[in-house]
Amino acid sequence: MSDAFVEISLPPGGEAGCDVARAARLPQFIGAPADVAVRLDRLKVATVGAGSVGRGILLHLARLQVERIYVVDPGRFKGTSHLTHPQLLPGRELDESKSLSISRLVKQLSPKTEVYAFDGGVESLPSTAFGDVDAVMLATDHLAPEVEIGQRCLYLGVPLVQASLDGPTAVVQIRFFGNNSGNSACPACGYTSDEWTLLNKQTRFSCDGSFEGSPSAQSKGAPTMSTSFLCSLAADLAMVQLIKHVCSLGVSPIETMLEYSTYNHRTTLTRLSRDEHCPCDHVQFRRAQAPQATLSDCTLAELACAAGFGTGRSEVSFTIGDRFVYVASVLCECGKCEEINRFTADNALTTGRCACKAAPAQRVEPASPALRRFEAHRTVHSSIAQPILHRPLGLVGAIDANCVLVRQGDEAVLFENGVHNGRGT
Amino acid sequence: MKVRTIDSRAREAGLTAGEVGSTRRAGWPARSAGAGAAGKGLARLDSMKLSDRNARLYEEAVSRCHGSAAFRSRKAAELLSILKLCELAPSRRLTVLNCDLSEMMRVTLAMEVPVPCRDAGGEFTVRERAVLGLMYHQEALIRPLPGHAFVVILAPANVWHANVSLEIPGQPLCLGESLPVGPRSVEIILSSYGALSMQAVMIDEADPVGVMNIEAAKWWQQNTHLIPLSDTAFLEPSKRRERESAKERR
Repeated sequence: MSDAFVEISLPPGGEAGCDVARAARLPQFIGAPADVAVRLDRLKVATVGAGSVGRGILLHLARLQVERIYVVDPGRFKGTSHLTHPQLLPGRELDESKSLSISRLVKQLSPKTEVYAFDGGVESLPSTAFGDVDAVMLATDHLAPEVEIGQRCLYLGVPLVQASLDGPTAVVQIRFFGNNSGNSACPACGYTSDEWTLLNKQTRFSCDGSFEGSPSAQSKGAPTMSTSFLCSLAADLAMVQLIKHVCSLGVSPIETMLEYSTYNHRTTLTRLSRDEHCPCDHVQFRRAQAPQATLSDCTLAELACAAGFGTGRSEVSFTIGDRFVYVASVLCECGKCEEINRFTADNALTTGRCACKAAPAQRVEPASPALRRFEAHRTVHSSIAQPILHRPLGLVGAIDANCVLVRQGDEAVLFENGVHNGRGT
Repeated sequence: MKVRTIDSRAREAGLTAGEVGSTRRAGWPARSAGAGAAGKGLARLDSMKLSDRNARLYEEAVSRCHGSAAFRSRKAAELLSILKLCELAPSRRLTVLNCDLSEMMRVTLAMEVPVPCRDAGGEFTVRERAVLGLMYHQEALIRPLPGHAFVVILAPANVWHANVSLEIPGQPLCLGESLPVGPRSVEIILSSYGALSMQAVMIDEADPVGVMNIEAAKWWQQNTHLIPLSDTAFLEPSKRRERESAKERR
């Protein structure tokens, strides 16, 4: 998981965590497999949104004493938060980080659970941040992170459970996106034009020029207008669906939407399906380890071959990590254009040797700052990267690449350094 | 001090300055200056035929168009509309110099438009042509992007404009706080024309939406008599070009 997360630990000399085992209350579910306890012991879940609904989900996960929990929320408590947030006293923790607050509570409830918090927006996390989890729980009011998480989970093949509610109609909906393939539904598949309009309204940017890598979009929306019991019902039903999936209880919740309507006490289960016109990229990455010790030792040709793609066809493309761009040529201070053909981190200068020999190893830059931004390739195709296809990535600038995406049409393989949880290839 | 100007044709179309201001604040002009001016003419866009050169550019770019199916078809459609806009616009107003659909859509455009600049000695000058880099990211299909994510000014250098940052590499041109999901390239180009010619401009540095060059914004507040740099609509030939043509005819 990403370094962006802070690992939460119990304060030394502070209040001791609870050491009661889950088995003291966990029932023997009828028809459940024998290894339910083991499955829960190994369960790793990320929760995006730690507000009225997400906080409830996290408390449930803590009480199940799962192996690892990641919490993502850029929000702060408001004066009214205690009206809908479970286990939050009025006036306490005002303006404090929601993610850090609940993470500390989770750690106290379940000291053996590894707890990681990220006090920021999901779009700021590396693209593979959810690569090692078994499921992502989504409980946010904002549509932009919803689309972003949906896309990431689809790429990585991670199940996504989305809990949402509508206060005025007192309806709770739980969507379970299985992400078994690129043809699975994603949250954006169900969007109407009203939702796209709302998405536009909710997103604002600062004028600091950030976009590539870490956008500074701020999703703005009204606070959750609901009652605490509807919020907790959404959290409870989301957990029901997660546990049905993890522990194989009854009918699989994959690709379903569970809806509870308060007014007529009706529960409806409908199937989710992909919208053929969904603008999201409905492609699933196969995941594989680097064929060499590290990705820096691998060549692009080698990776394409390991992925089962031939580089003879120009449509093989490569995306290196979250920040590397490919620069084909630069302009030396002497005014001469020099082919450079290497990767460089965003906004970093590129070092090379100019043919003019004015300086033995002078610093060179792309033709102009404008060109640098315009000409740099975030994803580079084999035809453009031809000069470096057979050179190890570490020798062409991508020295600490942590992942490489190799893609041909709608097939994609994500190569990573180190060991992952074995999902995919 | 808050100054907003409005394109004369947009005014004819019934848009008040307040409306233009409010749409700018919302990040995307419902009818940008150029679009307002060109609204009627744009109706012919779909029926425009491509010249041989532009048809070749299109075919070559489409043959190297990669990415997901949705993005591939979108990029091809956007490029086609840009090329048709080149055909529709007066001679030399807009030319596609280069286009690449292999990754995101990248189109290098030459645009006949007045561009405010300040040379090395600090002298204010207006150039008559800009080379723009238009970028259409895949992310633009699924989430709003900031207004400066689409257009960079490749030439001239040292643009002196409240919506063009000198600090951020690449001379990005800000078209608003954010652009909605899936904006149309034609709208982006027309908005760029409106912004560069200062037919639609934001120069209030205290506005929460913000400007990208505060010094330039303050300078323009002192020099509002220069705004707009041209009131010629995008689909109208430039006055200079008309004078030249008349001279030739004589």
